[in-house]
Parts: sequence; structure tokens; C-alpha cells
Amino acid sequence: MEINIERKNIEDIVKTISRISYKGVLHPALKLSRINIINNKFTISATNLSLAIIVSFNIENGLDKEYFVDTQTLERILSGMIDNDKVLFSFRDTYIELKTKKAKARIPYQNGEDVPTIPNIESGTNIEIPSNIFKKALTITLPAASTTDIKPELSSLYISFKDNTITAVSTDAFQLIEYTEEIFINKNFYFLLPAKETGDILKIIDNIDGALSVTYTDTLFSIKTKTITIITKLTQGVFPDYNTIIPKNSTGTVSFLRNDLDLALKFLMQLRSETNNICIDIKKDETILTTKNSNGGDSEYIISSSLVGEAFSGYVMATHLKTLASNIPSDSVNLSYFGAQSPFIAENSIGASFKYLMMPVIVN
Amino acid sequence: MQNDIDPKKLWEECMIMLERIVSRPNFTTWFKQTHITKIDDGVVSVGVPNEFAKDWLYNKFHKIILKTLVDNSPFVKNVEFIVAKYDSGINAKLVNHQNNKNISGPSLGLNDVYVNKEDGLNPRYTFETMVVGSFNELANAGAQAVVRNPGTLYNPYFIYGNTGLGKTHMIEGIGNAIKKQFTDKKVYYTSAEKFVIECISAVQNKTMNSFKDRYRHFDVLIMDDIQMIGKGEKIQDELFHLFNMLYETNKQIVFSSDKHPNYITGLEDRLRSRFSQGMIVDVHEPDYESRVAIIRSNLSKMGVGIPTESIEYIASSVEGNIRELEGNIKTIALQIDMKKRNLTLQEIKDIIKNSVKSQKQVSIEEVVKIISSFYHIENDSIYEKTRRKEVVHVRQIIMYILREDFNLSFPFIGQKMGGKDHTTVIHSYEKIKKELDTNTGLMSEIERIRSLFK
Repeated sequence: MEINIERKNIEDIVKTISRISYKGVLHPALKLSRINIINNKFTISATNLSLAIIVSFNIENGLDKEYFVDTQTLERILSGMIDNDKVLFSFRDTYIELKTKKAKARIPYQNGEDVPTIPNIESGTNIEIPSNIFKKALTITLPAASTTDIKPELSSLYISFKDNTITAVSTDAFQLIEYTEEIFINKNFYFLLPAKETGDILKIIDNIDGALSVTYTDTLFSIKTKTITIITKLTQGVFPDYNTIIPKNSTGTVSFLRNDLDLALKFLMQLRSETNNICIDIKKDETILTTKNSNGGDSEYIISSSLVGEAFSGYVMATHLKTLASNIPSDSVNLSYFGAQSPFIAENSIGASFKYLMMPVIVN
Repeated sequence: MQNDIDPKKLWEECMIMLERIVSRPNFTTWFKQTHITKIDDGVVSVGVPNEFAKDWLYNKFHKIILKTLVDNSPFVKNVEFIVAKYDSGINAKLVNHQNNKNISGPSLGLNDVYVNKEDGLNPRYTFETMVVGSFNELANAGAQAVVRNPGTLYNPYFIYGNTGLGKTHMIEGIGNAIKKQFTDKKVYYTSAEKFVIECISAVQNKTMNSFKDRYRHFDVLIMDDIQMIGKGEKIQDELFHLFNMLYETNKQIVFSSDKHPNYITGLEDRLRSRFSQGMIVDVHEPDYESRVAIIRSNLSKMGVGIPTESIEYIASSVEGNIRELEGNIKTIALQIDMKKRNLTLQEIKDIIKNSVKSQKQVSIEEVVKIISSFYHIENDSIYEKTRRKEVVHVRQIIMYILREDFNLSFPFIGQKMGGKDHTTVIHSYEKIKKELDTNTGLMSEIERIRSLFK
């Protein structure tokens, strides 16, 4: 059987598949892609047991068959065939032959006995979600999720759809981001999306606009477009009741431009401390950020700001401030203080609601 | 007998056999995070980490697993696979994996807040996990009585006290205990704030009837932070009618608040009188012995141990609420975990120094006054340039305490002590510190001086 496929298309598809195919792979079967040709539909899929990607497109002709090939080998061969727009795929008895005008390769089939099937999620609840809002919510909250697996709930994003609002929250217990925006969906539900898989999902749907067809059950979540289906496991567990730890009644709030903070951080990083913290000293009309390292170097950057309430100061992780500067969805930042043992809270000034809690650092 | 089967042991034995039967990659991939969640009437439920594993284990390994289970226990009839959270049994301590491994600071109080969706109760908040001391023993006794006789003895049961003193733990403990003792009773925990939000939402969505029905079916209603009920007439009206309905049918009602009902502002008199018609108890700040017990209990839960000297220091220094105490314990446990060793007393002092109240409350002049008075030295002579031995010694002790207990900088201390050079202050501090290693009399004097600042 022979099929002519646009090289760029198939290369992009295999690159997408290979994103997950080699990540943290335990079993050799997980390094393989399943190529399925049924009813004139070409489908290639792979899974790493947390996430599965299925890409399908129509072809003119094809016999119903299934093949397994090493994903990385396929990806590398395709990326090397830059001379032609189309690649001729010939499915022989024991190998796939890929051929262009100048290049040819034969990739042997592998034993796919142990390649796991991808769970069926069609019986789940299906809704349409605007991709831009969904992507934004995930992107903004992802940085605060824990990077360890000790508590799966904390290395997940809490995503809630309720009363036409999407709320996305993540925390690693030292920082917390909550993002809320209006979204017109007439269902109420929530789930925990694993942070690792969220990163992969965002890369895959980065160029996708319009509505996403989403299906969910208690244990799985899937996004479907015309050609790609992504299925991810959901974290089992209960997200902490974070609302109880958000402090109220700040003693002072300072406002400054996000851009100024960004410039300040770029400057201060040259002489950062070993513990990577920054001292923020809020005065009436200016905010002074300083760093000091053990080699005797120190730096200071003053940004214009406006204070309401009492002046305050404290130490914050530089990484948290960087996350703030990168993720706050407005040009200005409102930073509030609630006492030495309470988190700082940074909020945006207009638009969708963004709240970033950063625990202070105790510097010895 | 089936009831004698230990699920954990059974699965361990099966895993040993399965590891020999299936290939190493298959065993590591598919069986690693599995466990038996329950055994019910001969059906073993194997918890798997996700749907991918569930499908595959069922399709590929069902027969082998069932055979292995039956070989180890003849009472097994079948096996099913369910997606369930894996509990490795390791204490879930948070580790900060960011660049700054030396981060030292409190964490957001999120760790143990897990809530049962159906009744809103946190399963960790039980009487068994609560420390009882003189600060809460009356409230605890009342709570135990409520559990023995829900809806009849103390109804409503009203606990009040400042923030962070264990009120939520106690009222949820009542809920969890009643749930355990009376399995047919419907217990529900909520906060006043949440009740208000739900009520407003029900009004807006025209679903008041189902809102009312839901609450009226509970046998035990526990409402936290009732002071947040607000001044809304509609809300208080709903709560009033709900209260009456539950009370008249002998359903137990439990409230918590940061103040006595008589002092909750905006509360209607009819609600105030109803809150007061049962039993009102308060909890107050734990005393020293109770703080020691709380510290020991928390450390034990985290699987961490620190020397008695450190525990006593923390208990005597952190006099705030229990939440503050527990926050400091968590930070200490995190540091121990990151450093992979116990902390020195100095390191512990540095962690909790922000919680030490005396830092904020006493001025330098007062410190000088108190210490000079203790040694019967004239206050003014401390600031003078005199080299009289008795004055110099007291001045050195003052400098030591200002540095050690109040964490003031050497130059600042020198400046305040009559314009002394910071090197003089350093010398004084080091001298007293060294002397304390051998002079028990001096140590005792300094402890007595410290008690004067409390």
C-alpha cells in the first residue's frame, strides 16, 4: 500500500506525537507510535500512560491495517527529508519505506503487542470551550504548581467551571495563583489537571483557535480538534481549600508598572543572592528592590510607585517576582501587605481577575 | 476467614509472585503504583493510578492477577480495577525544588486541608488528633457530651474564641465523631460565608426551595465563623427559619465564632437569643504546657523529632495562637527535611524570631531600665563612659540581650547605648556568650531577666 503525504504535515504530526512519546518512558513499548489505516483514515497515536495523542487525517486509499514504528526514528527521518514537499509512504511486509526524490529510508516495524490501547472517553460529558480563554487560564496558573509528585493535588491545576466563570488555581504551598474569567458555558464542573500534562497540552494546542471540543469523565479529560485528540488522566484527590488562607485587611497596597518590575528584575539578577531572594522596600512614591550576595556584591533598583496605606518591606523569592511579571494580565501591579507571616498578594488592575500569593522569605 | 485478610499483605505477596511472572518493564510500568483498596465479598478491588493502567491491566493481566490472588487467598472470587489515589505511606512533606534550596520561611497553610465533598468535613479533624489542655478542656468536654447525645443535651452548641485556637478542629471533630457513632445521621459542615453565598445564589437563580430542602434534611448542621453571617435581613431570616426547623426536630446545631453571640455586630436579637439558648463555651490561648503538648503532637504527626530544649524554647517564645505555632513547626520540619539533619537551637531561634512577641513590645530604654534595676545599678550610668566594673558587666549583659533576643544590629545597639562603637558591642556580646557556657549563675540571671519581659 502506498500513500503520498505532505512532508510538512506529517513531520509536524510526528513531532507532536514525539513530545510525549519519549518523556519519562518506562517500557520500550511506549517508545512506539501506532499507525492505523482504517476506512481511508490515517491515524497515528502514542501514549506515555498519562497523556495520549491521536492525530488523524483522510487519505485517498488504504487497506485496513495497523503498524508500530519507533517514534523517534520516524521523526528524525522526516526532519532530514527536506528536499521535497511530499513523502511517499510505502507499507511493506516488514517495514515502512519513506521516499522523496533524493532520500529513502526503510523503518522496520516493531512488535506492538505491549503498546497500550488508549482509553475510550466518548461516554463522558462533552462541551465546547473557547480555546483562547482556556489556554490563557492554564498558561497563567501553570507556573505556581508544585514540580514534585509528593502531593499530586499540588502538582495539578484546579480548573472549575461554575456560573459562567472559569477559575484556574495552582499552588506549591509557597505561592498560589488564582485566575478567574467569564466564560459562557452552562455547566458546572471541576477537575484537577496534572501540571506536567498541562505543559504538553499547551504546546500542542498553541496554534489552535476557536472552540475546543472537550470531553471529561471522573478520571480522564480530552480535547478534540479536527485532526488532533489529546487525552489526559486527571489527578484523583481534593484540591486544598485555598480560600481560607487568603488574608484579608491589608495594611498597605502599592501600585507599579509590570514593565518596570521586569526591568528591575533583569538588572538585579546579575548580583543575586545565593538564596535568590529580593528585598522589597515600599516607600510613599517609590519601591526599592535590592539584592545582596555573599561575595560582597549588591544591587539596587528603584521603581516609581504609588502607596495607599502604611509603608512595608520584606523579602520575596526572585522567581516569584519573575512569575508575577510574566503572568499578570495587566500592565500594572497592585501589591498588598498583610503582616510579616502572611503572604503578599499581587493583583491586576483591570480585566479578568488575577491573584498571586507569595509567601515572604525569612532571611537569616 | 475473609475478614482476616490483610489487603496490604496480600498484595505484597502477589506482587512478589507477579514480578517473577511478568517481564521487568511490564512489572515496573503497570504494577508499581497499584494497591488493594478493598476486599468485599471475595471481590478484590485493585487501585490503579489512571484509566490507561486500568484498561491495560484488565485487558492484558486480568487472568494472571486473579490467579495470583486466588493462590494467595482462597476466599478471592474475582478482581476489579478502579482508578484510585496511591498512598505510599510516606509522610507527605513538601519539598521546595526551586533554585533557592535555602529558602527559609512559612508556607501557605494548605497542607492538611482535605475535605469530604458530601459532608464538607475534613477527615483529619478528629478528637484523637486534637490536643486537649486547660485552654480548651471545657469546650472539649461539652463537645464529647454533644456527640453522646446529639440534638438533646447541648443544642445549639456554641464555641467562641480568637482566631487560630482550634475551634474549627473541635467542631469538625464533633461532626466526624457523630458520623462514626451514628452512621445513619446526615452531618454537614459549612461556613457562614459559604451559607451566605449559596443563599444569595439560590435567590438569584430562583432555587430557594431546593436550597431550603437541602439544609433541612441534615441531622447535624455545623456552621463555622457564624460572625460572618453579615447584616443581610434575608440571610438572617433564612438562618432563623432553618434554625427553628432543625431545633424543633431535635437536630443538632453547632456554631463557632470569634466572639460571644452578645458581641456579634449586626446580629438580630432573635438569632442572638437562639444561639445562646444551648451551651456557650470559649477556647483561649494555650498555656505553656499545652503549647509543649501541641508541638510534640505536631512533630509526631510529621515524623520529625527535635530536642526537648528546642521544644521548650519554642513553647516559651511563641505565645500566639495555635495556627502560628503550627506554622512555625511546619517550617522547622521543612528545614529538617531539606537539610537532612536536625536543626541547632540557634537555627530554630532564627526561624521563629518573627513570632517572638517581646521584640515588638519593649523599647531599648525599657530593656536598659529593667536590667539595670535587676542589678541595682543606676539607669543613667549604663549610658555613661564609666569603666566601673559592676556597670561594665551589666552593660555587656544588656548588649547581649539586645542582640540575642531582639536581633538588633551591633551598630544600632552601640548607637543607643551612649554612642559606643559596634566593635565594643561585638566584644561584649561574645564575652557574655562565652561566659554562659560555664557560668550557670549568669545563665540563671539571664533567664530571670527574660521572664521580666513577658
